[in-house]
Amino acid sequence: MVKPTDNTLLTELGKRLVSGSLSDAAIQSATEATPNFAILPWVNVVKIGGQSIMDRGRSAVRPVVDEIVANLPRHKMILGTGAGTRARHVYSLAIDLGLPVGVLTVLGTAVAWQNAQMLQYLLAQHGIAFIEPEGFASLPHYLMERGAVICQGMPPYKLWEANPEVGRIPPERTDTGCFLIAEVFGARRMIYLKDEDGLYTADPKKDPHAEHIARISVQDLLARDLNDLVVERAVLELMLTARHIKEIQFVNGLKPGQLTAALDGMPVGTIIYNAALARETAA
Amino acid sequence: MIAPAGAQHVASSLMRESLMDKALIAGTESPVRAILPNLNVIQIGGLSIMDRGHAAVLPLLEEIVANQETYTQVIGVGPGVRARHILSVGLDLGLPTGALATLAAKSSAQNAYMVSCLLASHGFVYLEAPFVVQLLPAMLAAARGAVFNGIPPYDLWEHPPALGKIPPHGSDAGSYLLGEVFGARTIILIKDVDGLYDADPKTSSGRRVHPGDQCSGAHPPATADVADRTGRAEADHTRAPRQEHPHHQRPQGGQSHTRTRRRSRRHTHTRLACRETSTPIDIISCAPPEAGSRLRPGPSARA
Repeated sequence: MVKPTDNTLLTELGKRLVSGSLSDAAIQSATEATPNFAILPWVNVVKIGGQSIMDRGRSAVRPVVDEIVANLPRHKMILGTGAGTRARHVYSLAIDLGLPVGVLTVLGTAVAWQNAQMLQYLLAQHGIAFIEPEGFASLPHYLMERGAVICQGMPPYKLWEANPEVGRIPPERTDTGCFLIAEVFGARRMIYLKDEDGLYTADPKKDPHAEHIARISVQDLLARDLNDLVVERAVLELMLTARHIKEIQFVNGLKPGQLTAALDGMPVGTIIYNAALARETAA
Repeated sequence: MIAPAGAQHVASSLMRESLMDKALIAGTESPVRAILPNLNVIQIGGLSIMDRGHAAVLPLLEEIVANQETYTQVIGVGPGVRARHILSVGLDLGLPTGALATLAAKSSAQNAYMVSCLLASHGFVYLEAPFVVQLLPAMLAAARGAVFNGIPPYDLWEHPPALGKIPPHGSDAGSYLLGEVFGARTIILIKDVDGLYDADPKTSSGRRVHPGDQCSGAHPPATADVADRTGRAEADHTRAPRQEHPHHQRPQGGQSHTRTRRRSRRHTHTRLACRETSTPIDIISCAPPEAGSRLRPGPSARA
């Protein structure tokens, strides 16, 4: 048997990986020195809200569909869907039945899947496909051919979803799933379509004095420890460790033109950025 | 049923509310039912057991078969040295953590499939994640056992870790999370060291952490990690209320974990008695004493 140290095929890091513990912080930090290759650097990930857009039906969804179609020649898009009110119903029922968080994740995934399938029916005449996680290897082909694909927003964790620190609602839902798609592909932009103009100091649906926040660092936002947020907290925590995605944008999908402006790189809605990565780029 | 805001709602306690609201989240705390309370999750290490070949694997599988009559066992398997190799090549190419997780999970799928072949005559089958979700209870009813991929199906959606790029949800985390969601009776991580030490016992004179230490209070230096960190961090969030749930029935009397060990060879081990969990995590050694590894090159390695 050839010992790893005699193996000229392995890099220096490779020799340490083969023989050491992957939990060793020294080995983990050595992997930081490898390059960050962006798999699909031209793709935009657009998450279409469940309760905020899809549950509103035609009045909200048709204009969004029209705007997506208008952008197909100029921007390549992965369209992820949220879950919404049926997920809230099934979560409350499953919690009442004493089912664990992993089962709630399986149930919530089905709702995001329904919304993705509905969106695909509306975009089918433009050749847009619905890709499930198992089919993601063929996703680049559909993007090159048709400019967009649809996926359901939930990460495929199923029963393996970890418990939240508080409560019983799965902490990593469709905001998180779409963010992780953008991060793993090294996407150009991560845009969330909601029914508000972005982030406020409180829920604008309940508090008339809530103030709009146009741009804020994720570090500042986490430090404020707001009681309510426009985005899953898991996304903010993952932003701190992301290698590719430096900022995420929230725009109002009920206002025509906001999605196009965000795709064109305009500072509409709210931008949450990672101050640490922004400094790194400037340096 | 069109609400003033324009969204069409289904009536529920969470209707129209922001699921990001802290008070709403806290209000969802409630008891959890154990779905498979008799389940024992056994995680077989990749580097520590599988890569040693038959000298380590076959005696362990014999022991699993000997316990089949008494205990329902679902066997998770780790990836071992082939995952280390593809991590090395993938990192060199600049691939992101999610891509590395997808690649590494194939190595543990190979190991799990081999284990299922060796246990096939006893009715154990290998279940991919979608089949674990749908078919596990039927397979357990048929054979009191099944095999699954220890690495959880996070794939491209794996979290980028804070330090470095190695996928944080390894096979220890996957086995832990599966045990947790089913409300398993016990989770046993099988390694080639006698449990948890305060430093790597293979490279220094580490002191063994005492059995029964609480996992959140026994965080040793990074080099001494036996279980991958994510598995242990998740253990800290295991739900307490499950213990008090009226529906939740754990097997009583005569089925204590000590009996599992009495039936088998004598193992020294570490039990992570999590502060809030009803499912203990045991880390035990099942490697042959003079583990002259014919297959495994490195001297200091573990899953």
